[in-house]
Amino acid sequence: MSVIFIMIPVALLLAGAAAVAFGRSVLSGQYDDLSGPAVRMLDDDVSDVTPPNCP
Amino acid sequence: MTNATHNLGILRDHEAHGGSGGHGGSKGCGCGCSGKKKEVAVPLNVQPAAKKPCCCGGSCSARAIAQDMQAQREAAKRTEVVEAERSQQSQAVPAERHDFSEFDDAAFQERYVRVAGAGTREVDLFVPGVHCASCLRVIERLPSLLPGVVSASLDLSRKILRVRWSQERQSLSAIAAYLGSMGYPPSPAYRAASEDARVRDDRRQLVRLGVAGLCAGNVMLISFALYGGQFEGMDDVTAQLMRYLSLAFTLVCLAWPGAIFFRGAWHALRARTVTMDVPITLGLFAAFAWSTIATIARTTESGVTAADIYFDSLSMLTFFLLIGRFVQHRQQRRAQDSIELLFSLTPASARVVESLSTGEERTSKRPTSSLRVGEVVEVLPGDVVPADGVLCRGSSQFNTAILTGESMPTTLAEGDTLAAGVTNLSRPVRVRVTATGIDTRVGQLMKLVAEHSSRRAPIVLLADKLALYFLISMLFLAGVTVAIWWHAGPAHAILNAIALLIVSCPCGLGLATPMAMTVALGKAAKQRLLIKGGSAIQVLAHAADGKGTFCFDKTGTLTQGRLRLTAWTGDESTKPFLAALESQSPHPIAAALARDLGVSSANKGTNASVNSISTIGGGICGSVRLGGAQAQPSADIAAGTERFLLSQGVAIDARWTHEAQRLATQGWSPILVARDGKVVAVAALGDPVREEAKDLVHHLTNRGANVVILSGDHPHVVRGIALQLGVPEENAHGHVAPEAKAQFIEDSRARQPDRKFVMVGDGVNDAAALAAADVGIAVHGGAEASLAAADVYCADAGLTPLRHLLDGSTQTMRTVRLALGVSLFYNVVASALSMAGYVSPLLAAVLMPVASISTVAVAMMSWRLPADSNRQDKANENLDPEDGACPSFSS
Repeated sequence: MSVIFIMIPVALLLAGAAAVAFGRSVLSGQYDDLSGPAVRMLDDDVSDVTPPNCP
Repeated sequence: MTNATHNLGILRDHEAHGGSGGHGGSKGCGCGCSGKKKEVAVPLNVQPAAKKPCCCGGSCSARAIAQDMQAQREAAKRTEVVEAERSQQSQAVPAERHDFSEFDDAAFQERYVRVAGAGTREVDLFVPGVHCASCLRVIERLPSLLPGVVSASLDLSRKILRVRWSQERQSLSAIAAYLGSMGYPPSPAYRAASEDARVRDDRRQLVRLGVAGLCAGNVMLISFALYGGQFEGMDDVTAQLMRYLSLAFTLVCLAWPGAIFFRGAWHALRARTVTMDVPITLGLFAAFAWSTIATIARTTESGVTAADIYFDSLSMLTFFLLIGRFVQHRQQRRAQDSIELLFSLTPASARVVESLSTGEERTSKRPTSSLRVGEVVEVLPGDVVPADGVLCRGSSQFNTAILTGESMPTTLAEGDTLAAGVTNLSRPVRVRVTATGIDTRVGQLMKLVAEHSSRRAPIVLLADKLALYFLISMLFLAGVTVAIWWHAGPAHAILNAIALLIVSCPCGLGLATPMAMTVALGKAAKQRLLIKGGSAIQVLAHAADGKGTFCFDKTGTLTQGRLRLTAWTGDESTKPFLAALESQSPHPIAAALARDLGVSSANKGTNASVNSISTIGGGICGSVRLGGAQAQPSADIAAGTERFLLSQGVAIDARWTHEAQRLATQGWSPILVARDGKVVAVAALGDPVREEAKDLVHHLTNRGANVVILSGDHPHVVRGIALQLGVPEENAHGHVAPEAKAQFIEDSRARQPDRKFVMVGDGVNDAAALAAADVGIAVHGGAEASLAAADVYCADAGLTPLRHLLDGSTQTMRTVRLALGVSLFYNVVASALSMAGYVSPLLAAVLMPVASISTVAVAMMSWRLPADSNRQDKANENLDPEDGACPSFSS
């Protein structure tokens, strides 16, 4: 059963990392426009495309 | 119609000019974005894609352009000269009718442009022309097409293009002109001062939802382990570790995302009301306190059963409730966004006439916001007067619908005063500015709108009305539970009371309304009905149920909003003569007559010859010969008002005078038609009632609602319309000024406080009334001001959408009640079980999602409409709206 004392902190760390990643992605504006990126990826010439810039 | 329609018309003109006109030559298709674009975007001799006839309203030609650009890029790789040539080309985009020069003005830049790092600026542009993926691809290529543009990113759903460019290398007007030449004429995006704060708030809300979900998920996992441990056996240390873990997660969940309920409850209590937040907070708080004590007490071995912790239910509850809030919030934002976008359609520039020291005059385009009192502006036909002023040169006809809502044009001469927003119809004039911006009549009207909107009493949602009773019964039942179980020991009694509080926590109740409303708002948006908030649905359902008064604007709302020939009595053979004569005049009345008398463009010039024509105030006269110079004799035709004909020396029979009067009492404007000095016919002109208006009025009165007409038009006309629609005469009010419309609603409400007032209108003159009413509905073609003031915007023409709106609202409220009923039923069952002592945390954890899911399932059924309207809806989706100004709301 002692394995759980390792697994739980690991799980917590993972959950925390996911939360931080999610928070960062939201706060950087990745969820502001939900229809544009879906279309943007259809463009094959990546070099011309500018990433969405955010305030 | 109203001013906005004209604005839109002008914009559409721009689009047409920027798109398919321009360079002559390549007129590809009618979708307004192909022709010149191909020339600009393909400066080399790269063969553009085959010009197929286009019918998809933009996207297929955009695709063609994308293909062209692909070819162009390949060509670019071949030769270096390309770059130079391309930039040359782009610089050489000619200044057309709209040259966007106001984009370079200091005042414009100050207002809309932000500095984004060294030497680069940033601006948000509204590009109504974008429709699809291809448009996005084309537009986002801007940096590679135009030197000096650093980046361009398009928000497809809001149609906002954010451009960052280097000030030294490129001017904004050139960028705008380039976009215009590509078929995407931009206008500055209206940007609320609170925009940034709003975006940040949206994001924070999403983060909160994510955190709540993460906590809830983890707590659920842990409780699975704990429940498993209850049956299979789990050693104490591990179980206790699990409990502390879920305590930690729940603490995070409540302290961060869940705090909005506590705050809401606190605000409500301070305002001495009870909203749903209060029972939610009570349940959450009690359960959390108990569970925490139980977790800690277990370690101190004081005899409380540690199995009775509710962390899983708690975090799940928070998550579910947050989902409801988030979805609701998002939906409302979307509707607001669409309405904000329509703001940007106001023409932002004026042609200012300046006298140079050499005595010459120079006209320059400047943003309207930089106009000063005393300056002289030139207003071309089709343009909108940018500020209040006095006509100082020329005379012309004006559409004053913005203030009167009237469809008949007004003739104004030198010395007359003009209001901002009025559209010039016939000749270029000059206007000396007397008031600008907020000081104009329209500006004052807008101020009135803002005042009314802020004064409007908030509508108590059905769920919140229930909250107080809910809270009382919860507390009462909890007290009863404690009393019943006191004999079994205080700990046990409190445990059961806590169980009651948590299982009866109004999760379903909290979800039912937002979910049903959100589903309704979404489905309504698909039908191109934009509703700003759920409260509008509730009030509409209430009002349509016979407990409301519907006030209608006349012109453009109940009527079609444009002049038509409505009756013709007398000599039929004179019709072609009159039509030929009227087709020579640009006057709106003449245009309407020529159109409705059936003059096709074919026989307009060829068969008829008009020898002399004179138009003096009130009529037109001239001699007309039909069918060339052959046998047909020429006829002297005169048409106009009685006074006009008398002045022309025409004898008028009493019969015709009577006929004219009869038509006038019906609300039409009679026009006497004389042939060779004798009156032979009477034509009636008017703004005919929409076909569906009568049905709607009938439907409303049948259900017990009052129908009132408020119009700025002549009382005669209004009475005539009321007669046709079956509206009682005392409810038809004419000559109502914009301010008086709002006043009327305020007064009526003061008299009948329990009635709900719904205002339906389209013009700026209705804006104040729209804001004053409980629910304001702006119908298709409405001015942007009315859109801002309204709670609902119907993007499709006619009154049929209004009918859908009322039916949908009624149906939605029925669904909301059903959903509330289902969730209350669960609460009653759960309360009974917990009072009987049967509820364990496991049962609570099962009951709650079941209750929530069934409530949501019921709520999904809201806004169901008959099959035929759905079919029509689909047809609308495929059909690109003719007016590019109305972005497709269905996205």
